[in-house]
Formats: sequence, structure tokens, C-alpha cells
Amino acid sequence: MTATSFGARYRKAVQDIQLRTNLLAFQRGWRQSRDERFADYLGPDGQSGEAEFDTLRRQLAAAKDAVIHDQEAIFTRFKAGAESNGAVVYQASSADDATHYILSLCERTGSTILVKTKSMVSEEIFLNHYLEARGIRAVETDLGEWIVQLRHETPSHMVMPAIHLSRKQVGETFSEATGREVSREDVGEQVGLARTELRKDFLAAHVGMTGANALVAETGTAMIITNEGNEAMVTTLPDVHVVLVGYEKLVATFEDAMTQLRLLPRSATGQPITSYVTFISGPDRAGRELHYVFVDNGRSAMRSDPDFVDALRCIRCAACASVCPPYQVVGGHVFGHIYSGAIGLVNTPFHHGLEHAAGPQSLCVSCNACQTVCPVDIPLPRQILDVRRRVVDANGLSPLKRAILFVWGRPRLFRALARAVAVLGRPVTRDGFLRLPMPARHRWRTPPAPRLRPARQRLKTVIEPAATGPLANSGAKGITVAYFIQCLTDPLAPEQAESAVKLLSACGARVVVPEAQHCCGLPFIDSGDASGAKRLARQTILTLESTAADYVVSAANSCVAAIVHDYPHLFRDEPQWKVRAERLRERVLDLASFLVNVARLPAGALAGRSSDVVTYHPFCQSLNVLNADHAARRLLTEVCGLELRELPEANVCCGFGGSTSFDAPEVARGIVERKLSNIDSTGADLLVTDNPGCILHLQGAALASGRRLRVRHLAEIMATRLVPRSPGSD
Amino acid sequence: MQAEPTGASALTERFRQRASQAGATVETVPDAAAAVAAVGDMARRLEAARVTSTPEGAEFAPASALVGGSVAEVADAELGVSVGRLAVAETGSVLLGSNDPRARMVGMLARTHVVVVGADALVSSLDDAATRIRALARPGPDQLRYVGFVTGPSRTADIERVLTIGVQGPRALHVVLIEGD
Repeated sequence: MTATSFGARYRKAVQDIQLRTNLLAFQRGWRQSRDERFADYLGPDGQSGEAEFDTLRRQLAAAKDAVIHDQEAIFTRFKAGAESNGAVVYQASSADDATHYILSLCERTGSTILVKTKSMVSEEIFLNHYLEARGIRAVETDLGEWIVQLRHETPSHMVMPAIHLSRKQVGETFSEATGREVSREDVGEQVGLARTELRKDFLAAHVGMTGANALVAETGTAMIITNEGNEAMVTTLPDVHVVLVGYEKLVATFEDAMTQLRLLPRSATGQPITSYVTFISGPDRAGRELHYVFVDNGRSAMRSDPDFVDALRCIRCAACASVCPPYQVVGGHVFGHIYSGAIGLVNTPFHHGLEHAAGPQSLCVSCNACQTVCPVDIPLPRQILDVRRRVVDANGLSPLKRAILFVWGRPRLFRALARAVAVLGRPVTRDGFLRLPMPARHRWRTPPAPRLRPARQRLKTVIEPAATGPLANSGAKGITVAYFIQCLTDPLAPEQAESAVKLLSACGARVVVPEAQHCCGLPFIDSGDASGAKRLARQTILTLESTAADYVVSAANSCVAAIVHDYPHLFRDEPQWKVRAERLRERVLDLASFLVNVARLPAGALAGRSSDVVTYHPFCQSLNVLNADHAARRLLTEVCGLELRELPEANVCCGFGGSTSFDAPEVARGIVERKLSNIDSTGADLLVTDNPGCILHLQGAALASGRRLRVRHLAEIMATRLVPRSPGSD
Repeated sequence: MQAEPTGASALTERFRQRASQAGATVETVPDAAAAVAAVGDMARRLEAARVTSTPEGAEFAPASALVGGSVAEVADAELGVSVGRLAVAETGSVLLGSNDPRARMVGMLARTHVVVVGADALVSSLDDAATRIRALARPGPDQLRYVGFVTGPSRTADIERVLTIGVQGPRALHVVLIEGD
């Protein structure tokens, strides 16, 4: 598997319908169980599930941070405790040194079999290959690991190693491995076979190897969690037990271990606790040996890198893979290297080299879902963009991307080109989309057409507030708002900007539209071009500073998220610009949040009849970064009085993901098809959402698939209600 | 979400609820003699030809139970009897611990595992358990180098996320809680 190139693995995965089906079922089931387990966890104050989750994860992140900060002292304490109980603590100088140490344990005891529980560190240092080349059979005793081992694959998920496979595929693998017929349907029979086969190896091995989920420093104790009960056999039956770990597993106290225990099974498998949680403090009798092998393998470099140090909090729950939309399309053999999921994109450069992260990181759609479920709140989305930037620093941009960004960064050239396409494309433009034959990889989409009159020509630079109308006395009355159009909206969706400005002025706000505005820099941030991003971000900060408006508002939520979320990090090494970016951040709001929190629109203010069947999809960053989902729902249901059909998996991204949609169109297609089929299930003919890029992506895909679905911005739905209408004219 | 009961009997109720959710069964009995009877009933119901027990569990196991058997003798015994050092209401877990690998094998290799726990061993939360585990892990004559929570039977969902009970370990877990007074 690892021998093939990323491109080859990608092409194979995107054609594998079975893979996508298996992983869709897995992700849906996981999400439901995970949410239920946090909802039924009862803390002393009985908050909601997500509030409990947040409290717990802040506790654990703080505990892990303290250990990362003070690692030498905590390690020394652990070592002293473990040694006083008769364990041997070995600090391997390299990955090879660790594998050699374990080999020598096997050789000394004359064991030709090593029984193992699941250990990502052993995958990381390729222990099985090393031992097998030297005549030691390493046997995986976790069922999922055993299955992938029999198939000569690596785990595609840190917790569910064989989740990419169906029971049929497992039955075929077992039949081939054992030489007898094993059911392709009966999972119980398959599990029974594993029990029988593995029992022999448990009894024959003299050395057992495990990882550890936590290493409790105060007593030198390892905490190991499993569901199958294989760990008890691996740690009890052989004479020698070796624990292979990274330093990041250290925790200070048993209380910290318990916090981890509350978060880990819930996040990993949606269980309140696993069937077995074992605490081992030393060898249990004379003649038995317990060894700890600590591996660094890039961890020190992570620890001294301010952009990545937080990733050492990881407790290997794999929630970041279980929630990830691109992961569902391509699986963990493509979305990651040895470690899969978002954390794999982040730690691979340190454990295995930047070159192994280059391909997988390009598939991230920046939906930020991973961070929302991370039980230690690692800023994974930001770190992935930092990996991307390092990849671009090392390899450069592709010539096509360089050309696109060259144009994008130059407003006059960008606008001239948009106008040229508008003119030339006129004969094939219908309803704002270009009806052109698309290349094969893009046939599932219809590209949006630039308009002859972009938003900046339709909007005056100053729009005076409305004196009358249903919203004229809103909380925004007398306020000045600078409106940010967005470079994409300007030619491709001017009606969205017009609607937003109309609403703001109807709310009694004075709206200014700064002429010098162009692009916030997001396409450059997304592409890993930090210097291009900074140039446009500075220009945007200058332009918006010059307006001296009370608020900066945009209906382009991706730009709002970029300013709020990405700017401070972008300028982390330029204190003066960082301060200006942070000052700007205080004034920037997405349209929905402004209408709810500043204008405070009352219920029923835009009530009216609608003959549409409506559903609502929040833009992923509106949900995961801006927390604007609640405001948008309130506007639709209470202010407009619309009845919404609940959209299943509303919290999953639409697959636009900026440049990913062009770099990896198969991924974008897979995700948008998931979204469209969820929309189909609601019976809606109108989808309302809140970000121009997503609207164009979703509408374009709906058109290409022959659906009659209309996709509209929240601003458009609201603005049409400003005009008094005759009954039934919707 | 169900309302959480409060008070001492409420702790038992919560333990029962959480242990059941994990697939264990919980039986409360008034005293040690009733616990012996409950374990005996279980052995009869299972038509257990082989019953195995830890040294501490022997007090509750049928007289015929094998104590301290080898792997071969313990493997796939119909019933294994252990004594729990704690029961944790928060998670429905019991805490087992022993420095004797043969004692640990009882709960590892028997097909059905019964754990007897005294009411004074019932605690509310994992934090309460942490205090106790710390004491057990510290060097000294009472040190236990292997302790562990057991919550429900051995399980896997590694194939298509289909829950399957009894992989390497027991297929059923019963907890007998002695309520006392």
C-alpha cells in the first residue's frame, strides 16, 4: 500500500464505490453515537452534551499542555515510579533503536512470536516489517488490526483499522488466510474465527507488546484501554511485556487519566467507557519483565515548533477522521500517511517527512469540523494550512495555480477577465450558469457565469438608510456599516450583495461600500501562498480601516471567517499588523449575526407566506468558526416565519472547500453528492444557505445532475420579503 | 435523558442502569449468603461443568470450583467467579485487581464472568475510583500492580461497526451487588 504513489492511491480510492459506502455508514453511525454519549454524560451541573464536552476538553487540554510544558520533570517522575516497581524504562534514540530493542527482547527469550495489541507507534516505526524480516512473527490481536495485517494493509483509521472493509471482504480475507470457507455475511462467525485462531498465538508467545493510552507519572502506571479483552492476554500470558509509547502519553495524575477516560471512548467509538481499562504499575511476579520503550521520532521537533506543539495533546481517538468529509470519500489510506485523518496531515511531516504529507493535505476542505469534535481542542484546521504553506514553500505552486493567483491578486486584471468571460459566454449563459461541456473530471458541475454588471457597479458607494419600512426602527438605526462584497460575489453573484445591502439599509443603517475593496486573501491562504495572502489581507485591512464604520458586514461568510480566524495567525510574526487585524476583527460580522445581535430584528418582522418547501444548510465555517448558525436559523424561522425541513447531516460540509474543489474534483463531487442526497431526503425545492461559494457549488452541482433544486442566500430570501407582495406571489 | 436518582439506593440504581447499558446484568442481594446462592443459581442455569474462581471469589463460588487453575484448565470454563474491589456508578464498571496472573485469567478466559461486590465498595464517580487506584498503585504490602475496570462483556465493532459480544474475553458479565444494611 505505502509503496504506491499518492496519485495512484487517490485514483484507486475515488473509483471505489464500496469504500465510500462503508465509510458513509460508519460516519453516520459514529456521529450519532458520539453525540448521544456526550448528551447522556451527566456532570454535577447537568449541562447539555456539547457544553459538557467543552468543559471536559478544556480540562484535558490544560492537563496535557502542562505536561508538554514540563515534560522532562513529568517523565522523570514516571520513570522513578515505574523503576521502583521493577519496570525497565528505555528511551530509544531513534525509531530503529526502538525496533532493535524489541527485537533483542524476542531474541533473548527465544520467542519467534510477538503478540501485540493495537499500537499506532508500532505502525509509525514499522515494527512488524522490521521483526518479520528478522524471523519474528508479529501477530496483531486486535480484530481490526488482524484483518488489515492478513490483507497486508495498514490501518485506515486509528481506532477502527478495518472500517474501510465490508463483511464480505473480511470473509474473503479470512477464507484465504485459513484455507477454509468463512461466512461472507455472518460477522459473529468471523469474530469467532479470530478468537480461535488468535488463542494459539497468545499461548505460544513469550513476548507481548502493547501501547498505552496514558502514562500516569505520579506512580509510574500505564493505562491501557480495549474492548476485546486481548490486552489482558497480551500483558498476562507471555513472560515479557513491552509497552511502546511516545512521550505525549504522559499525564500527571490519575484524575487527569480519568478525564481522558471520559473523553476518549466517547470520542473514539461513542461508548461511555470501553469494556476494559487496565492500570499496570509493574511486573506482577518474580521472573516477569515489564519494559517501557519511549520513542521520540519527531516529537521534540513538534514540541519546539509553536505552530504545531498543540498537536502533541492528541489522544488518538480518531474523531477528526470520523467526522471528516474528504476522509469519507477517499479513506485513511489516502487521507493520511501512517496516521490518518486531520491529525495525520499534521503529524506526518514530523514523523515521516513533509513529502508524505504533501498529497494528503491537499484534500482538506477547511470545513473545521475536526476541531469541533477534537477532545483536546487541537487547532487542526489552522495547522493543516500551515502544513500546506510549508509544502508550497518546499515545492512551489503548480503552474496553473500560480497563473490563477496571479490574476486573482490583481483587481483590474481579474475584473477585465471576468468581463471578457461574461461577454464571450453570453450565448451559453442561462440563469447565471455557463452551459458548457465540461472536462470529464468536472462533468458533475456547472460553472457560474460572470455578469456583465458586477455588484460594484450596481451598488452606490454610499447608501442612505431607509426612513420607513418594516425594519426601519431596528437596533441598527443610525449605525454606519461598511459592506464587504467579496471578489467572487462581485461578478458571479451580485444579487446576493444587492440583497444584503438592501436589508442593511432597510434596517436604518447607513451603508458604505469602499471602492478599493477586492479580495480578503482567502484563496491565497487556502493555496498555501502566505506572501500573496498577506498582501491582500493588508490591502483589505487598509481599505476597511479607512471607512471608520461602526461595523464591517458581509454576506460572504468565508471572508468573515478568514478575517476573524485566519488573519491573526497570518500576521503572528508582524506585531503591528497583528494588532490592526485584531482591531478589525472586533468590528467584523457576518450578515446574520449582525441582523440578530445588532439590528435585533423582532420575530415576525418579515413574515409572509411561502409556497416553497425550504431546508437550510449552514456553511461549515458559519457553524464551526463563526457560530452564526443559530442567528441564521432565527432569521429564517422566527423573523421570516418559515417552516424549515430539517436537513440530515446539516453539519457536514458541501465540499466546495475553496481550491480543493479544483485540485481534487472527485472529493468535492463525493461530498456534494452526499449533501444533495440529504437535501433530496427532505423533499425541499429551495435550499437556503449563507455563503456565496457554497451556493454556486451546490447550485452548479444540482443543475448538472438535473435537479430542480434552487439554492439561495439567506439575504435574498429576506430581501424579497421587504417588498409588500400580493398574496401567493412568491 | 433520564432524571438522575440521588442518595445511596440511587447510587445502586445508577450503577445498575449504566452497567446494563454496557450489556452486564446486575443482581442485588441482601448478604453474603444470598450472594453464594446467586452464584450457585447461575452455575446451575449455565449447566456449568467447569467453574473457576479467584482465591477471593472462592467464598462465593460452588464448592466444586477450581481455584488457581492453569490456562488450559481455566480457558472456556462455563463460569468464572471474581470479587470486585470497587463498583463505579458513573460508568457501571467494576474494578478487579490481582498480582496473581492465574486469578486474572478467571475473568479473562471464562465464558461467563460473575463479579461479587460489597455495597461499601460502590462509589459514585471515576474521580472516587482514581483516589482508590492511586492507593492501590503505590508501593507497599497492599500494592496491586494490575487493576482494571471491567464494564460489560468483551466486545468488538471492528467489522462494519456491527456490535459483537465475546471476542477474546467473556461473552457475559454478571454483577452481584451485596447491599448489606
